[in-house]
Amino acid sequence: MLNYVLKRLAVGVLVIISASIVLFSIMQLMPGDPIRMVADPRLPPHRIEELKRAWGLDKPAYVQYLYWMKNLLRGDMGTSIATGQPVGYLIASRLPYTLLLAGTAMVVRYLIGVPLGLIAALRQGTKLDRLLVMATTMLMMIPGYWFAILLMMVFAIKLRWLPISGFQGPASLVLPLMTMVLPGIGGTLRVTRSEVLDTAREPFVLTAHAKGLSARAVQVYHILRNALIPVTVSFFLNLPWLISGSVIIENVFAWPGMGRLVWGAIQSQDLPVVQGVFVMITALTVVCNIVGDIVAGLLDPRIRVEIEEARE
Amino acid sequence: MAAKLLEVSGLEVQFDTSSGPVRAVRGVSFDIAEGEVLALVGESGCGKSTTALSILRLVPRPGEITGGRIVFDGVNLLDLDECSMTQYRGKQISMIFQNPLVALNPVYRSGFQVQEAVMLDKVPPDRAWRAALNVLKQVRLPDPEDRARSYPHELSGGMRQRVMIGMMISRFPRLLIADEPTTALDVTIQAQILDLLDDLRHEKRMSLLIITHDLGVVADIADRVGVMYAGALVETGDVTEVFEKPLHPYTQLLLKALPRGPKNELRLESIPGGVPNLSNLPPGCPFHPRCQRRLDICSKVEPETLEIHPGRTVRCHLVGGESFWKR
Ligand SMILES: Nc1ncnc2c1ncn2[C@@H]1O[C@H](COP(=O)(O)OP(=O)(O)OP(=O)(O)O)[C@@H](O)[C@H]1O
Ligand SMILES: [Mg+2]
Repeated sequence: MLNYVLKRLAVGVLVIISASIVLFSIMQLMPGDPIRMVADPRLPPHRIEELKRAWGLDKPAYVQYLYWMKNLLRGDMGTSIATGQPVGYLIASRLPYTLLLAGTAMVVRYLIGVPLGLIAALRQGTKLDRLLVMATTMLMMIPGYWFAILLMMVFAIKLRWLPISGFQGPASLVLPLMTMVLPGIGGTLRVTRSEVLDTAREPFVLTAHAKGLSARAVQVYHILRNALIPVTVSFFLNLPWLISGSVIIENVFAWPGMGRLVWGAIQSQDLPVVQGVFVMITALTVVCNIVGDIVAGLLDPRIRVEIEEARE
Repeated sequence: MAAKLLEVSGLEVQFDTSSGPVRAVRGVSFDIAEGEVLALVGESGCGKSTTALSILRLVPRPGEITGGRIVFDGVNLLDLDECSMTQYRGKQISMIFQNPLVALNPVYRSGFQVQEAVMLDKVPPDRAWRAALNVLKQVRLPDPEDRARSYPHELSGGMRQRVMIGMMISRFPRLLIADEPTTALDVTIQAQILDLLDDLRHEKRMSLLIITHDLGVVADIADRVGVMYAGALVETGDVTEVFEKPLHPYTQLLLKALPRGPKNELRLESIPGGVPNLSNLPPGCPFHPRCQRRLDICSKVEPETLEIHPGRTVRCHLVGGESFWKR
């Protein structure tokens, strides 16, 4: 198991490196340059050249990249061109807010979606089943920002129940959370529903009935127990998507997380910050995938074997 | 003759598919006496498994039992509510399935799956575990202590089928249904599993309903045989009688045209013509398009089941009717 995790981590590092190269190239291709974005436009050209030299921006792109990588390996993510603060510090101050929002959203989504999926599966083909599937599908089709604005208008402006934006304690969490949770419930409901229905058709379920277990016992110990393995794993595989997806939501609600940080950084072409956030998100993705694999192995002995065999 | 343990009469099962209703079982009647072995044979898709599953009332959706009676020890199982039916499954009647690779739950240790069955009889867990080990010994699983702690995927097909058999006999059922219990296994293992089933049903005084493609198995293990075609039983009788003097042209073809396989076993080979489509049966006898001895009436009227003497039935215009007695 340990070997397997190490191997996966090594692959993860490669993924992070290639992703950062791709992002670095994209940033290079963008028009404009960061110095002009932050510096006073009246500065004489030779001062601008000086500044560029100070930030290392006069060097060829690959040299800049290698510098950045060398520092990253030492744990130094660079300095923000716009504010002069260390990128590591900026991310560290924002990351908890993003994790709080995305993590809570994910947990709430599954706490609602999984039971609804179970109900839909157990009541398959009834009006209730169709209603659940239809309602959550409609929620899925509403664009996130539109939804956010609607919620703001209703709960913050009309009813004045909740703060409109920013972070002022737990109440501020409600609207961004709803924006992130509601569209996702449909996906979780569908996965749960179809996994339960697929498992119910497995021959071992027939065996469980034939040996005399009650319908309830078959449902719990043979259908749900097996169907919830892929559902649980999907939790960890979906988490990175939600983290990346929070960029827009964080901006709409002025949520002080990484999404807001990176949005501002992109606009001012603050390359070190963009790179830093991007690497962070890639790393989180890699970790979530590994955790998903480990959890799958813990829940399913067959996958455990695959994992054991994969270490060679 | 021993008392009848199971009496199935006029069983009808229908699958309501999107392309119309499929009559998978059409008026099937047979019985099994205490301690008797009945074999059901027939080509793929003729309704053998559906008949067997009906007895446990486990026909999968969209299938439904639409008629008939299944009387077990004096009780019509079709009258019971779901909860009372559970009392019969595993305890009075249990069933082993064709493919042991998928019939065990992959996430539980094999011993637990036996223990789980034993515990249904209110046996405390530790005693149930010992009982499970004991049963696994009886089904001749090598190293039962170790294998009980293995997951199904860690066992060979033969071992899994032994676990399956152990699980299904652990509550001392009076009738064991075995749906092609050896089809998915290696030839050498097949013989071992059959021997095991034969020994167990003697030891435990169980009745056995065995479904098979293999006429060799029928000859080896069964007392009586039922031949199914297109959802109906076309002939039943004592194995020796049916093998020596088959009455239905389909049975005759089965027994005659068969090449002898390895170890002299008889196998069902494809008989010229295809199996009819159960959602769209030809009028008259469903076998008439493939029958070499068909009469005019065969394409018009489906024959009734005729009882030649108790326990010997046939469903064919050639038997009974005028033509039969004239010959
Ligand atoms: N789930 C289902 N949905 C629709 N029709 C079905 C279903 N299961 C079985 N049938 C129909 O019932 C018929 C009988 O099926 P059954 O499985 O009982 O046959 P069988 O004799 O056991 O065949 P085999 O030797 O292949 O196991 C099939 O021909 C098929 O048309
Ligand atoms: Mg079958």
